[in-house]
Amino acid sequence: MANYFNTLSLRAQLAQLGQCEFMSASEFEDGVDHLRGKKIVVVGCGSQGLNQGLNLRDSGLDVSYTLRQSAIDEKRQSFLNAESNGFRVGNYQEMIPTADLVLNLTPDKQHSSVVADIEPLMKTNACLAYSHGFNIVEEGQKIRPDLTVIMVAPKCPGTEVREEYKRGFGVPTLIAVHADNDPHGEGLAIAKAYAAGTGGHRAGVLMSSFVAEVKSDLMGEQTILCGMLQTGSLLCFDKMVDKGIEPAYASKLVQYGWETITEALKHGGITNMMDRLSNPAKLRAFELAEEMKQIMRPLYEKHMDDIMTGNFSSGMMTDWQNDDAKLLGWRHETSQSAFEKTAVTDADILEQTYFDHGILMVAMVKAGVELAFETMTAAGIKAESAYYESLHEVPLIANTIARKKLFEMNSTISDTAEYGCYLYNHACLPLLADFMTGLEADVIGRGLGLNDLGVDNQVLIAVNQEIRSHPVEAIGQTLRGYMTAMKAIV
Amino acid sequence: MTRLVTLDQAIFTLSETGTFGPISWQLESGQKWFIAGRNGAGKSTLLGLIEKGGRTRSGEILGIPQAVVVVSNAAQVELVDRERRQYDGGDDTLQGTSVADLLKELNPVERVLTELIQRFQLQGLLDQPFRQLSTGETKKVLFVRALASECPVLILDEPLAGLDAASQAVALASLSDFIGNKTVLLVLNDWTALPDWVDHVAYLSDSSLSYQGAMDSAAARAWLQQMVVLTNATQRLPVPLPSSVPALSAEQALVEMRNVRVRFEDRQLFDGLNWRIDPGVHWQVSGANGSGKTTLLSLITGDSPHCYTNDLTVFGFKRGSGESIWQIKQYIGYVSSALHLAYRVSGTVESVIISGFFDSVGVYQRATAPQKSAASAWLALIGLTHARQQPFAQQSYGNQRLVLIARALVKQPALLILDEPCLGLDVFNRGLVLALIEKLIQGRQTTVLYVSHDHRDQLPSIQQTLRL
Repeated sequence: MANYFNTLSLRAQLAQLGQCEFMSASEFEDGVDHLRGKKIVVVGCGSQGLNQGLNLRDSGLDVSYTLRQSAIDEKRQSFLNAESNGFRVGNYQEMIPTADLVLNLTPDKQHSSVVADIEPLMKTNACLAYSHGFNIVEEGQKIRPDLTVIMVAPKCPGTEVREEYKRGFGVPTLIAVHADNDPHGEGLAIAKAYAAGTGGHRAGVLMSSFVAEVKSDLMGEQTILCGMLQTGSLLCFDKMVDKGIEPAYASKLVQYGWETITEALKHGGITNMMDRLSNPAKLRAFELAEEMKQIMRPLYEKHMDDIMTGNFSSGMMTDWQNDDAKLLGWRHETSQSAFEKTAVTDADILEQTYFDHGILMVAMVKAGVELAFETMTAAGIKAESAYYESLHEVPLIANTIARKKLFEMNSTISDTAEYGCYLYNHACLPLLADFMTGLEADVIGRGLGLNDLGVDNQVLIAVNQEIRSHPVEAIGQTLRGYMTAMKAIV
Repeated sequence: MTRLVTLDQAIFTLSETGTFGPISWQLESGQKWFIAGRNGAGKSTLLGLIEKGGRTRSGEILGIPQAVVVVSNAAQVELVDRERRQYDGGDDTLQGTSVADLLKELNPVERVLTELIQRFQLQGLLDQPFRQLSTGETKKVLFVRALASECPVLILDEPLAGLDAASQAVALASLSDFIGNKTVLLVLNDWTALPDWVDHVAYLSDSSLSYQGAMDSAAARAWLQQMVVLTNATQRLPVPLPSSVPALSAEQALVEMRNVRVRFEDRQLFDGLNWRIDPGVHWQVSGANGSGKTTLLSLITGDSPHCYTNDLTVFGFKRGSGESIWQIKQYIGYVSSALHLAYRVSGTVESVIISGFFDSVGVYQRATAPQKSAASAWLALIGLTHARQQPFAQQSYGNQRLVLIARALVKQPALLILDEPCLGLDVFNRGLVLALIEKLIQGRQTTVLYVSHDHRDQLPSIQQTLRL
């Protein structure tokens, strides 16, 4: 199989990369009607599989599960998930031939073999859906021409997909129809009904393409989302300990700091996150972020280039063939880091203190988000995609670190994200070494400790202007507006 | 603090036929109790029993204090009568006890007495006979000698009655200044004037203390205000909005479960349960922890996956036949402590109530003007109009629960499910919640399904019981 993206003409590449349209709510007025009475069979019952299935069933659709015979025989977790939730579960031979819509929600790594097994069993003119397009785009999987191929990608972990649905809301979702597999022209109608069944239509749906989703998703997860948070965690912790901050305090400041500062990001973008700092701290964070952006820009560009050329995915697939040797090595290394192994203090840290003592962390988030966004849009990805795959997801990943540090983050994210994260981390740590040497605990761990919070008006105005006029802020305001417009009504 | 008076399930005989109680109450020295209750609830009777003791028919009363000083209308009348009996019709020169002498009768603390005489401007009256004073003046004298007394127990039954506005202000200020570590029992119909030094509240109804405990006076004021609102029989439930939900037939069961089986790993929770809920028939579900009460409810609300694996018809929908969960939830109002925990999105009190129209946690759709005014009407009913635009998260825990009950009711659902609605509430908030639920049941618009394992929270109006 050849990388699908690389088979496209430049013209087609740019067209697909640049596809990302916010869909109006009126496009979802028919709800799940298009799928009513159709048989939906979900392959895999992990976090996305189970939670999407629960939502679809609660939306009135006919959902059952299929697993490999071995998973059923051994009563693996995926089998228990489906069975204890009252779903019918059967093997591929039993279930796939009955399905009008097959949702492939297995891990990326298994896609080639799963698709090879289920494709021959699928009904003529049925539909195969993905929540991530790696298999189609990077592995170049060819699907039987009578089958419709779509993608519905909720931009949140599966548990969040379920929780938001139960609240009566949903999570922002990308949908796409694979241009090579839409023989009956019904791909979009199915994708819209599927998105409505998961509740995604209430939070906003973006019409994207397989290519745009994959390239932007890979870029976001390996740079700002997982990579930057991992590298930042290690650097910030070590710096604090080096400067005499109590390790238990440093551990807590980092573990919960990302979550706290990116909560501000979630509500009001980089602007609001920076506004949570005192004026002198904001100016300092701004300078630090500018400096880091300059240092890290080549790294972000390299990641983007490797993703676009397919070098990243072929490197990762080689490791898959090699029993994940690199991945497992890196995973072990992370588990042994001082940050990971240092227990956190019991002492409370006030919400504001996470900002005041975490100036460098704020600067890292700003630099990473802006760089990822700039690099993606420079590569032809639309601002909407770039926003969702950078700024929007940072708080979600930060939550995983708050739960159980880097171990939790790396076990929650996809296998492609984890691989990319380590790749980034290994390149970024030495890259920032000199920069880190020059820093003191005032920007990480201790706070500026100023009695005089005065700043120069002209300088502050200029910096505020720079922060607010960044393109990620403009698109962020629009997209957050769609999500919160309803919440702000009453 | 030492124990002063203990009443243990005490029932008092008041007359041939009348009894009072049962009352359990622990009064410790130095505490300052506010005794509330509607008119006729027996507040003065209770104070009289603490003052003088009483004949118990059952239970116990221990530790009636040796000396008590009382300010009340009855005490005022008693003193006037005493003077009248002693001195009326006798020698014309015998004018009765002078105010100065009367003020010294109860072992006054001189410094306090001198100060209070000045504050109440009694100097000019000191040499006058008590019987020549006006009614208002006699009340002042009664108040001053009580407050100046060394006696450590003070009963104040409407101490401000009969005083003009200026004197009331002086009396309240003097209480604050000189109440010290006295033990106080205070009855005051106008609780907006509740003094800050009050630290305990007891609420009397049907001649027993339905609620009692420590509470600062500001909280007590707000609580009492809400109790009055909620127990006001003339206040009606808000008029329902024209329903946007398809109507249910009056004959059709709201819920019908046939041969329900639910198994959790190693435990068979239900094995062949049949249950039918008809409109207008309220149910109480009881059972020990783990007996499956919440699972049973979640079969109805659709929150349990087992609703898809059993023979279950809810509001006419056979579950698993293509209906969505929102078609079910539109007929249900639901409150539980689990919902309370889950309700953690930011928003105002009003938005929380409005979310009841959409069965959502948070509001994601535009509310109509009638929906907003319905929300306001429910806020008025629960006595929280002032909190309309305040953040929900900043309300007291008990008021949050009331708001969630109003949220469940705002659309006037066919079925109201209350799963341990009092769980986690203190005795006072429990009182508010139970008063609201009683009101709903009397409103007859909603069928109530009430789950509680706490015997204190039984509702007399519910006849049917399902025991698990």
